[in-house]
Amino acid sequence: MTVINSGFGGRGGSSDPRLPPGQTHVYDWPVLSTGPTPNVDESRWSFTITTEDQVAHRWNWSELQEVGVEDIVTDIHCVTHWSKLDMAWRGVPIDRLFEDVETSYDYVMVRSYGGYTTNLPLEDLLDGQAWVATEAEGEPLRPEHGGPARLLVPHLYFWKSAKWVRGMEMMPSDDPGFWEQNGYHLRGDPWREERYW
Amino acid sequence: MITSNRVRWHLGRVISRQFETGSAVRLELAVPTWPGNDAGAHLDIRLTAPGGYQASRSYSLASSGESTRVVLVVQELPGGEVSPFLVRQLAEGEEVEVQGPLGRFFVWIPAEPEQSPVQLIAGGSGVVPLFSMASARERELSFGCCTRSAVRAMSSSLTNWQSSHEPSSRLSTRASQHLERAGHLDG
Repeated sequence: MTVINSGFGGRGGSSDPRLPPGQTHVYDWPVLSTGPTPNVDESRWSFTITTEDQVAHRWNWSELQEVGVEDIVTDIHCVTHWSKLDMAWRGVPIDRLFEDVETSYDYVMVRSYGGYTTNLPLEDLLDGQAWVATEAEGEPLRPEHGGPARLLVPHLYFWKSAKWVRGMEMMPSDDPGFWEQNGYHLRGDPWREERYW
Repeated sequence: MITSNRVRWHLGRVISRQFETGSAVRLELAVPTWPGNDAGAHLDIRLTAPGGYQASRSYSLASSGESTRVVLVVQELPGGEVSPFLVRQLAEGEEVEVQGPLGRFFVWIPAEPEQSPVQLIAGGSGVVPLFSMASARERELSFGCCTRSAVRAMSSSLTNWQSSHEPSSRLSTRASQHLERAGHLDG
């Protein structure tokens, strides 16, 4: 039912092939948040993976660095229609954090300082697809962007890349997190425009 | 409560357009298949250029309830791609594609007996979804907004709101010269 808006020219009239449908290239880095920014000091930050056996795998800030960081260059896509291309990130691969985790569950609830949650299938977090990111564009991650550490899952809409991340809890089913309970898609693949449900 | 409706694309036609300020327009769309929306909800507008190029943006709704008429107030972002077209060019009678209703978090659902006082606070064009919340509430309400002089608090809509709700509600506006970046969602 596409309607042509004859007076609309758009900006240049063509899209970068790296942009998923419905996305616009931005050069700044917008911040969207539902509440106040948690003030999380590195000295009291920790990250915990909890399994169905109540086994907790925990890293404090220095232990996380010792796991080993990677440099990533990737595009990010926000469900509010902006994309930022070729961003430089640094973070610890989720694969490394799961090396000693034994679980038969296939889903993960990600939890943040401040109470935010988001759900993901474990297979979207492994095989080089996700990181606990601590730096962006060559600088420590600022608090408004989720510092000191946020999840980075760039192949899904960016609400999945939880700011101020503090842990992951294994789940037997794909239970919805915060935005997923509030009208946003359970998985959020930008190339399939999985924005809402 | 209208939250159970599934999101989908709809075709809307511009019924009326009216400037609220020099750079913000109030658009009323007739959307025959619109299921209604909660106060505070938003929608996506998708424009398609003659060459097939498309651009989508989200806009808050100033209207709520079970109506097939929806109201937006769009503030022009200088140098923007979509808002200048909506504010300056989109004509009465023209059709646009809209997706919605969107958003189940920043919504007002007046289900409970309303006892406690409410203070709504907005900056600049952030006042738009509060219009729908204000009109969905019958009881006392205090409405504050802080704007740049250029926005002027969507002046005519606010004046109308004030006259229909006094004396049970209060309107306070504060036009600040210090908010250099007000009205742009980057904070």
